[in-house]
Amino acid sequence: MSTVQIKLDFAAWQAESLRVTCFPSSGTDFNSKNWWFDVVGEQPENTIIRAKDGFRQDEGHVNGRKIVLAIQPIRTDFLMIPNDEEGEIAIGSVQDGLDAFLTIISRWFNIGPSLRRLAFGSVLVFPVESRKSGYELLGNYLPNVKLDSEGTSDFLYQINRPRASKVITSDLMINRLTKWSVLKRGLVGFELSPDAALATTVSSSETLSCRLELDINTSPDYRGDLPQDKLNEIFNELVDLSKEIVSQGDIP
Amino acid sequence: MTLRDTPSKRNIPQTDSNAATDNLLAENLFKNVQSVPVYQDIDAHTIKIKYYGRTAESSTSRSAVSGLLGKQANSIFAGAKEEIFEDGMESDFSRNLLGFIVSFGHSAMDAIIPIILSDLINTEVASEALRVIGHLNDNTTYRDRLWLLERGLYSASARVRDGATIGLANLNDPLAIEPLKSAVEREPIIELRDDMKQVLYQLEGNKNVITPKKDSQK
Repeated sequence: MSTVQIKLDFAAWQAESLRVTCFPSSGTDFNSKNWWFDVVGEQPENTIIRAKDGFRQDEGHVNGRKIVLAIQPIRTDFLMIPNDEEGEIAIGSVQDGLDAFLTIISRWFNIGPSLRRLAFGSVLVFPVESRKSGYELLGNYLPNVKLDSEGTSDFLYQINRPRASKVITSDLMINRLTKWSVLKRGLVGFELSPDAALATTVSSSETLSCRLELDINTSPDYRGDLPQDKLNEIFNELVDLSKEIVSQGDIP
Repeated sequence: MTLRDTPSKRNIPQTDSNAATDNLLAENLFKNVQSVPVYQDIDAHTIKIKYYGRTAESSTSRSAVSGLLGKQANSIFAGAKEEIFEDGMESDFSRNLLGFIVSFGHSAMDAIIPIILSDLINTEVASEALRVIGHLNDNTTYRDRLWLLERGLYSASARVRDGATIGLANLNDPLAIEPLKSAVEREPIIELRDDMKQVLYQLEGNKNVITPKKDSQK
């Protein structure tokens, strides 16, 4: 494969998962029983309740994509994840997944509790043919790192570059936590036979991908609740910061 | 039966080779808990602790070992049922709890918060936990602990509300003034209400004092 010299377009990345995490304020008492129905418009396919832990999880498919809503006292997570029952390992184009996700989150902001903190997380991958080409691609995104694409392996670069919010200008900082690596992934199969004493593994194919984990979140040090009428704007700011990192790399 | 092409994301190293021999399993993480020198210097507001956690401070992702951390947390609280707590005295429970929080940061708080807020927990243990976490000097979990203490003011148990009040007094953060004012209005027990007012006066005295540590940005 020829050496990759340029950064990728945002839409070129595949999303392995998308996550929105909302941290409710301490004074909010909420009933999450109908949240799924209120944002999706139908009952969940599965619900898991662990009363002892105050945990509830609703899940189902929205426009063919698997969505999980996990609620704990201290946090609520919306996840878009691959249909693992169908063998998927990514949810497809990050832009398509994001559009569907934003609609759901936006509806929830209208019915959800007051929040003290908000996060947008995503795991993005871009397939490469070799470790070398993966490192060369990462090198384009990490101007402060000198990567030896031939003499090294197991590279992992994690950094937080906080930035002041442009929506809440009164001391709200946004953490821009990213983790860059090249990932080798294998599909592993097992043959189980009534005659065989042990299961045997089937030879597996391996693929390599550049992997970018983004965790863009409002700082826990912000003193007070996030303004309810600004939640959509704040969230869009988190998404825009994610897009900026994906398209421009690790910049201050 | 043949199960071909079954995707297996678990246990595949998150790198580009199989060079790593480090086993990042919970058993190894738990060893850190046991080896943490929890108390180096103790007074009301200065318990200094080394941090051995492995997650990024600013991360909001859930720990890959959250289930195991939940079990560890349950174990710590289950072991506390037999203990008798005395005011101002450290206990095995307080040592284990603080070590757990310092070692695993946000992930530890994610594990213990549902337990403390559960209606099923022994209220004396929950109250002791709230008192203890107010003493801890650990910036990483500061806001989680403040949240939990404020949330504890809503407990149906007066004993837990009392523990939350004491914890907030120890934390001494004016940010808790509004939640405390609200708690005073709700509180049906006169003695506890007076205690809350006392803490309120204390915090209002600190209103204009914001320490750099509490306000530091991550």
